[in-house]
Amino acid sequence: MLLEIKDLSGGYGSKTVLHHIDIAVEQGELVGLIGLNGAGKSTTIKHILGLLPIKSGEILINDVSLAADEQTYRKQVAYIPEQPMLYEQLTLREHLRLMAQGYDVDRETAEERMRHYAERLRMTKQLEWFPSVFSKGMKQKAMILCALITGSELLIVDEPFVGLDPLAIRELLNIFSELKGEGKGILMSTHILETAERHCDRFILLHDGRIAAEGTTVELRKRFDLIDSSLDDIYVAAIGEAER
Amino acid sequence: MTSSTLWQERYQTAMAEMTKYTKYMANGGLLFTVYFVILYALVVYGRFLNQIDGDFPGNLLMGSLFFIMAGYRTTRTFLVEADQVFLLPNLPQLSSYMKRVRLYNAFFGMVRVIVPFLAVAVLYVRTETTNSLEMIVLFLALAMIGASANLSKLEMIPHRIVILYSLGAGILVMIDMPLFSIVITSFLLITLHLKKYQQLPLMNWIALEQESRDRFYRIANWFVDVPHLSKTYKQRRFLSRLVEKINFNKNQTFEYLYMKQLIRSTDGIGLIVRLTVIGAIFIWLGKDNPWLVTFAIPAFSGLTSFQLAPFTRAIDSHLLTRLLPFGDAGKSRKKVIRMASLLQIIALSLIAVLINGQPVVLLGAIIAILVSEVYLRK
Repeated sequence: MLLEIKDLSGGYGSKTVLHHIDIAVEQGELVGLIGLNGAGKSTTIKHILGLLPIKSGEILINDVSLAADEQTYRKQVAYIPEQPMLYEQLTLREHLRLMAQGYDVDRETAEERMRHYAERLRMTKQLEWFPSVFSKGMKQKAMILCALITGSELLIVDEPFVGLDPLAIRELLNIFSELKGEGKGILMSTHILETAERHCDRFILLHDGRIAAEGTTVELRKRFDLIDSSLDDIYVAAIGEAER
Repeated sequence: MTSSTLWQERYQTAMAEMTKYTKYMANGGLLFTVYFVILYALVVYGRFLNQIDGDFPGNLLMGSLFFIMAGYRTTRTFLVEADQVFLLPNLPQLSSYMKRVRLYNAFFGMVRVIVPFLAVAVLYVRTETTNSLEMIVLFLALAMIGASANLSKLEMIPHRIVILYSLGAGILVMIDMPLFSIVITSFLLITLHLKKYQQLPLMNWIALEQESRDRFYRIANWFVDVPHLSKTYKQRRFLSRLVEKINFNKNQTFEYLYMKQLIRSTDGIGLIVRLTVIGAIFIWLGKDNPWLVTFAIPAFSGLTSFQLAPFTRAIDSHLLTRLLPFGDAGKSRKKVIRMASLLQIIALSLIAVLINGQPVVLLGAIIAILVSEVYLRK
């Protein structure tokens, strides 16, 4: 198992947002994390990234927890945040060097990944630019490049399509597909259900910090008795059931 | 919201903010050095005035002052970013607010010329044949230049217009026709009046306020740590290429990040250069006293180490920094500060030896290294 979240409870300070959730992501799997605003998606992500201390439960990546071996844990996970956060004082090329160096990627591999992914996301020309002159979409692409250059086993992605042009969205989905083929796992939080339905292998629906439903589209259709329905309809039904 | 309440509210908020930082600055150690340097400069200037003879070209200096005072312009509009949404419905009713902003900027443009005028005036009266009417006219003409410089920025009038008029007025002073300078500066004010905005240029004025506030915070940041300061970064290609030579090694990740931060930020290399320059001036002013020169090296190097200590704070809390698996942030921070401090100590020591010429000043370098180490261990 690539990512294993067991009986996790957590949140901010004394406020508990997540209540005993279990999530698993296998190698080569793209899992969609969906839910209303405030359902606990971002909190889950922050816990996986070790940005928030957990109250109870356990998070393992390839059987390693953050507490047991922080460096090995962190090396295995890369993150694409919803809001691009770049260093104002570094060019894109310098960001990529920093990430590669910090994730112990050798120089040749880093150069090769940089060339490859920058070309695919049409960012080659922007490699020497500072983030202050980037458009919103370019910033998002820069964050994607920062995550991809690490070559981590697990990719945590929060609303990756916001601000991206249609070509970039298509290319990113192609990249996700290839990463899956290489045995990497992706946990993607998104509100764009139509795209998620076409590309995710499984879904986890969070509601009020609890898992309201999970499974493939087929399994969810069966579970809510909505044969031939879209993920949108299943989502509405699942939220309705959770609130009853 | 009326013009009057808007002005009152914004002006009071801005003044409260300025007072807060001015208090912090007044308590900072660096300010004492600045006081000392100013006092010492006054003493040196006083001695220079006592020795001056009548042939000194005081008119050239006074004429140049017109040009110099036109060279700097700054404005406050007291508008904030949110105003581009919330003030939109009231725009046509804000003419009174615009008038107050103009008066404020004109007034501070005039105030700005007082000290330079007094400094040059004491020299001018010793070297030129003049009378009180001429001095009053000169002051008024110069005050008009100060006001016009600020107002031109407010009305988005090219800076070169003010510089051109001030050049004309300055030349009149230089060719001993000072009374006519006020005619030219009056024309400048009339030109500005005719070209003024009728309706508040919201976006431009918001940008001007942000620029002005950033400038104040940058100055305040020399003395105290200013949070939420919009940072400006310079590329510094040559130094950046040197930083690229750092080994591509997981253990040196933070060294690379901090070195880039140091060379590109105003609170990194900018701070070191500023304090080294002030230190060099201090050493020059106290060159006759070897112990003062010796003391200057650890004093300025210590001040630099102290002020450099938080230069990584902004990046330490950055998301990407927190995700990096490898690298030792604490060790790298110390290494970078130690290197910067050592380079500054070498620079100050060389200046001290060149100016004072006595080897005792090198004792200051040894003390400076010790002081810097104490800061690093904290």
